[in-house]
Amino acid sequence: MTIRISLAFIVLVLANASRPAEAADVAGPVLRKTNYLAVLQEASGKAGMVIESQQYSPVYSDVLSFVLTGPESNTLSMGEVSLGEQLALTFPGKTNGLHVLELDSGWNACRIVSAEAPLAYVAREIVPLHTARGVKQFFFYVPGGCREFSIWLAADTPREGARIEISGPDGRSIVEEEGDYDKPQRVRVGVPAGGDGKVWSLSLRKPKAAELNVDDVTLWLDAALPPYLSTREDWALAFGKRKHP
Amino acid sequence: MRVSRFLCLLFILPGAAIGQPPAAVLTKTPFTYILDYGPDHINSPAYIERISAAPPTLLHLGKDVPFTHNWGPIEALGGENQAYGKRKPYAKEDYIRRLSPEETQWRTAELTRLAADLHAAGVRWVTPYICSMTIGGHPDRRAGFWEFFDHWDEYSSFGLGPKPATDPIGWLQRTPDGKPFFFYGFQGDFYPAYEPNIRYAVCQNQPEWRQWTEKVVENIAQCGFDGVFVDNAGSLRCHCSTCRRKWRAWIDGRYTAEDRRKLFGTESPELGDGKQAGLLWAETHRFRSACLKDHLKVIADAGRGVTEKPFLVFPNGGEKRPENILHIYPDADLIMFERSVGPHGTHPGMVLRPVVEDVRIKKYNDNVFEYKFVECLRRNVRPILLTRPGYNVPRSERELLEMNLASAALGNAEAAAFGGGGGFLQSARPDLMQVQKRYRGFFESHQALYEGLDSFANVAVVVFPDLAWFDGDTRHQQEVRKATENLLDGHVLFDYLIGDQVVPDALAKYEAIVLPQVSHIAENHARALRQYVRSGGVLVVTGAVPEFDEKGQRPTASPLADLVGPSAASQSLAVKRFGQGTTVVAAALPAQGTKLIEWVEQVAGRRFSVVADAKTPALSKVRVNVFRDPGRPRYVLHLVNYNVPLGVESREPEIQGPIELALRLPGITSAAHIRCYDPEGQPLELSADVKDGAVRCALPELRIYRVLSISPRDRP
Repeated sequence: MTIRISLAFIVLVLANASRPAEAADVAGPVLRKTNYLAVLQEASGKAGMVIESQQYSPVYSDVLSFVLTGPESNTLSMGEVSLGEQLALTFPGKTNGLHVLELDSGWNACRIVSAEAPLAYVAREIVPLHTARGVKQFFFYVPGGCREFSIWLAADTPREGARIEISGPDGRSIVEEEGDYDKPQRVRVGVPAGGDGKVWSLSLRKPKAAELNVDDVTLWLDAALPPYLSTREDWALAFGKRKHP
Repeated sequence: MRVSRFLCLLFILPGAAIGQPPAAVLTKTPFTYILDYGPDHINSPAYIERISAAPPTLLHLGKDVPFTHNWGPIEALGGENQAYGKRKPYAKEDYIRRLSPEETQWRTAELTRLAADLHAAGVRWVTPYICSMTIGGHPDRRAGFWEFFDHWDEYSSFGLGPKPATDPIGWLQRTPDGKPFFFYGFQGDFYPAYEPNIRYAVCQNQPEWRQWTEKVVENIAQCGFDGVFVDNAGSLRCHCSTCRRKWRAWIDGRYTAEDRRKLFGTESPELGDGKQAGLLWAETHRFRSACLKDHLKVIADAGRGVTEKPFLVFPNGGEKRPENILHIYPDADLIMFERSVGPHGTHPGMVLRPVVEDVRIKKYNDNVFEYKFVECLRRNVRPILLTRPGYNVPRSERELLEMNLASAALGNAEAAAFGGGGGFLQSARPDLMQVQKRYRGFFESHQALYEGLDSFANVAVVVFPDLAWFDGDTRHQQEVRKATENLLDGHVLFDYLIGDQVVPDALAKYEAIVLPQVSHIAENHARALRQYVRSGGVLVVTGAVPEFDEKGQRPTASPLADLVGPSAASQSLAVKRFGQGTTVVAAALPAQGTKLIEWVEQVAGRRFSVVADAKTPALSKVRVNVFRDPGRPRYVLHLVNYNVPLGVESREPEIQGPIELALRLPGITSAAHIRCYDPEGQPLELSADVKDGAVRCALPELRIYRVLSISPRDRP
């Protein structure tokens, strides 16, 4: 069951206006199971990140394993991070371009604590993103010409669900809805005039319905959008424009 | 022989077999294998022609038999338990229409011709399908098997013997409260694939079912088939009166009344229940395993009684059940691992899984544990792998994970390199059959590379299959797989030490032993381990030190406490000297990487990897295995490259090389002669030298598979 709050009256701020250029927090949401991060590595630049392995519950013993793949789909490094520990992962620095980091925390959890190069969480149908305990804010790019897009949510654990709020380029809420999402469900969003070609944002919070909690939520962006979610607006733009300049 | 430090992987088997262990069985030549459940093999010159083009060593057919185990003699051919299980109007054909005795005679003649034609086409073994425990029909409507049963005497010319006195409803597996036990549940009044009939599970201990099994097999053997594939060969969860009576004799024979009271709380324990792991559950499984092993012997004897030569018995039931291989199947000829499901399917090779844009992440599948476990058992049984791109997966996923020509070659290579005489399943797809043809030709013309050898390794991993029954989970098996992955990635030669192989002479062969998450250990094994370490061995213990003995009892102190030391439990890694040896205790093994090897090498003070190059992720997916000729200093090194892309999209393997090899091979201490063989190319001589005690050479390149025969230069 979902409850959608109609925000049809929201009017976008003119395209020239933008939200304050504040330094967004790089630290990402809590993730579980297997997830993929895209990293834009410049050969001349530093790249690295700090990954944290978290114990989600004492009953789980899964450690965090990772595999770093380069732009040519070559495996660059792999390893494990013990529960409760952090690892400073340094990229080899020899290849330019899109790298992919697989993080497999099993039933335990992990988080990106910090990152030096542009980083985005891959969220597409064949590679969805598995979040836990909500998402404070993700940015994503809506390409020019896009009139409608969907975001899919699934939270199949009983008594779990989410309240999703999708905000336009000016930060104003466009769609807000909540539900249990026991089966994958799409949240449709119409793109108002002037809203395309810009960075939007979303959050996942605890539903207002008392019987639901926000914990394990899988989400992905439909094919209308570049499959990238980022904790920084500028990074979302950088990733988004790779295929939609 | 120089005494060196050995790490022994201790495999402790509670209630070890009485008497001497059977003599170790050495390796055999690998073989090629096709499974073909098609319904149209008889009277088909086109089929014989197709098989003739590239005959496999072993051809496994469906229910191409005079009498099917589940319906009796029926119209349909081919398929397994599920297929062709209906009549009109529930199916387009009258698949399970009972054949008359005259029709059955005719069918027998056709099958006899089929067997002869397949042999003439070059197939060595033809094995049709039976099942250990399934019948279909309806006891009230007298349909299916019951219809045949009611006409039993009409088929006397087939040597069926007198009609069983008990109705088949009395042969079923039963729950503790006496109801029929169904392995394959269903809603409503019928089993969907058998509509409107029911699929029943029969008890393999029931004398009438055994009698029927014998008759099914005898008639198969009469046709000239070489053996049978036995599905569900590990499926027995029965509480019928026959099982209970046999269980009584079993448990009374293994434990005195006093021991039964002490260990089970009663002199007369009932069959155990999976909800409570422990000794009773282990004994229940051992009992059932003995019954199932006996049933397989009945099948083998029935066939041999007709053919007067060994009759191949080829059960299914190895997948995720090493305990069953140890207890049920060691004397079978073959054991199938039906590997249907995996995160990336189960076909061996490299999956290029798309993530985003053009970046794909590499994932690898191999079946080394399965092959090597059976080979290391050193019993009669040999491993067969059935792999799939997954089960009921979407088309896009299937296309990503499907077998192609290169991965088919890899599958055959893997069987040859690790199976000690195993086989890899392929379908009867003509292009894949050509790959098999090449490998069969190679195996049979190079038998010296495969026949009569024994595994050679520096490290042993203890595998304790029975722990699944004591722990009630698979933590030990998962840790064994991690150890396997660590050792394979690090190119370290290893064996598994299983059960009654844990004797001082066997332990002494290894420089390092891994004891992975072992919770129960028998005193005699603990003693052997202590002696081994005291004498200079290196033991790696992962997880908690064993707390229980082989009966599930907790002694006052862990039998290995003195090896480990009191502080080990509080540390993630602890090292302790014991006598002349060392124990390393780690909380757990990493799933990937080569940490295990680092620990071993640090303690042992030398490198164990046989690949001298610096490790790269791709090179780590070249797997190595070595066998030795027991009679002389000749070694056979197998190298298998798993960087072979899976999927329907045609991609070349990622060739590895040159690969620098460095192996310490007893008996080869000066010059070495190395001949390198390739099923897909010409053999070549490799120049080699012996330096710092190791035979060193460079393999120019490795596309998929190469085999090196290594001997002293003066004795090639």
